[in-house]
Amino acid sequence: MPLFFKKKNFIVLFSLLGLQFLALSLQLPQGKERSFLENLVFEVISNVESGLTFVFQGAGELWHDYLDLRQAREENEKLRKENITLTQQNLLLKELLARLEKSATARKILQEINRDIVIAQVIGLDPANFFRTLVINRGRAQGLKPNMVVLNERGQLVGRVIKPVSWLAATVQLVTDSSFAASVRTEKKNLVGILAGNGHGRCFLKYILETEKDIEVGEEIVTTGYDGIYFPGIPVGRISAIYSGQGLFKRILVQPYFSFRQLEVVAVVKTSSKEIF
Amino acid sequence: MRVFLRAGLAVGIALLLSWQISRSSVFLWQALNLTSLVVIYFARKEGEIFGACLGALTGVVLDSISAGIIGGFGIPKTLLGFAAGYTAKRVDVSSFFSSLFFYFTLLSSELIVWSLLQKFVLKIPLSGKALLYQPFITAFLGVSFLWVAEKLGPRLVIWTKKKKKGGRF
Repeated sequence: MPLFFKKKNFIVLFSLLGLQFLALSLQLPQGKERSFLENLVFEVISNVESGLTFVFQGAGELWHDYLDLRQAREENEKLRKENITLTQQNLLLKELLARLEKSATARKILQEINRDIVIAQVIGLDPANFFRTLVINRGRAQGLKPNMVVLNERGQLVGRVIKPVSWLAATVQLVTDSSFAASVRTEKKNLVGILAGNGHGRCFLKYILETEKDIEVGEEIVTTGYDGIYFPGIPVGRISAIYSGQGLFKRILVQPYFSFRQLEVVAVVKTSSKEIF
Repeated sequence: MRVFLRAGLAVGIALLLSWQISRSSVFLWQALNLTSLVVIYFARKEGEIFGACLGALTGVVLDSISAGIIGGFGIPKTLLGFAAGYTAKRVDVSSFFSSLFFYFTLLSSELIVWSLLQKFVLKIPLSGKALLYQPFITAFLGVSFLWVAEKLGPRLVIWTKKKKKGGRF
């Protein structure tokens, strides 16, 4: 028997490492369904995190209430949430009205949208890479499911809900994640491409041909809706740099509108793109 | 049992603090690895088994709130906890500079293991230059804080006792 097996310290260490390597190997390759273990841990931890955030913020708010006038603050909060909801509704309404003008089904759909926006608070960022995911305090209890669109306070694209979604929390994949992809177009010239995160706070607009001349820095990028996940017309960001002469396609950098440091509240649109369009 | 609760509470506070820091400075958030500080601190006091277990648990918590995979944080933190406890028993790390070197070495090793796992096993792109400064900034701020707390703590207790005695008269 090797010497180190006689030492219980090393047995504990190798057991712990072995278990984690086993868990690691069970979950690789990435991209497949989340394992039961991952879902279970997320379910437990997200609730603890949600509770801790609640306590932490509760204590902070108590202090603010002491300093501010309580009623004015509550009113402000209410108006702020209302404002976020209205911004999201306005965004969707604009797009809908353009598409469904004079349509008999428009009224029915608009009523659906009205109740299908969930306001959620950000309760955690990805400790490995903050440009990948975040955790919000709304989950299955509020009807959240994977692939629901997540917008910021101004109705600009933040990302989409991905697995795991627990009872009271959900994970949001950010547009800056390297595995993110969405069909987008340029606002003015209507050039269609694929938006993908670069994992470092920006995105790439892919598959715009090198020969294309009608594209310039500063142009706005919006979603097309072709992917069946994101509604058409959601503002994503602006082109910040264009690099040419590197192959068949241009290399285009996009600066997303949302700033994750300002992301305290987000809006999740429960109605799917397919249901409306 | 009490030490488990204390360690759990410390990890919870470290996570919350990290998240609050992220609101004001992204650089500081990346440059300060508070959970590892907690793991090293407790491993140094309680030994390598405790350190490895605490590291594993902290890692699982971090993995679950990230989009990563269980083990991505857990493996480096388990090794960190074990190495911290094991080394602290054999090497004198009581002075400020030896303690700084001890923390710096462990944090650097953890960062290397974590980066290799992220890059080559999990294929996740690493982000932020602040990561390069993480071992030094975390070690320096952590050791400074602990050093001040250790120096001031007993004096504060004596001062409080004296004040209480004075109050009776």
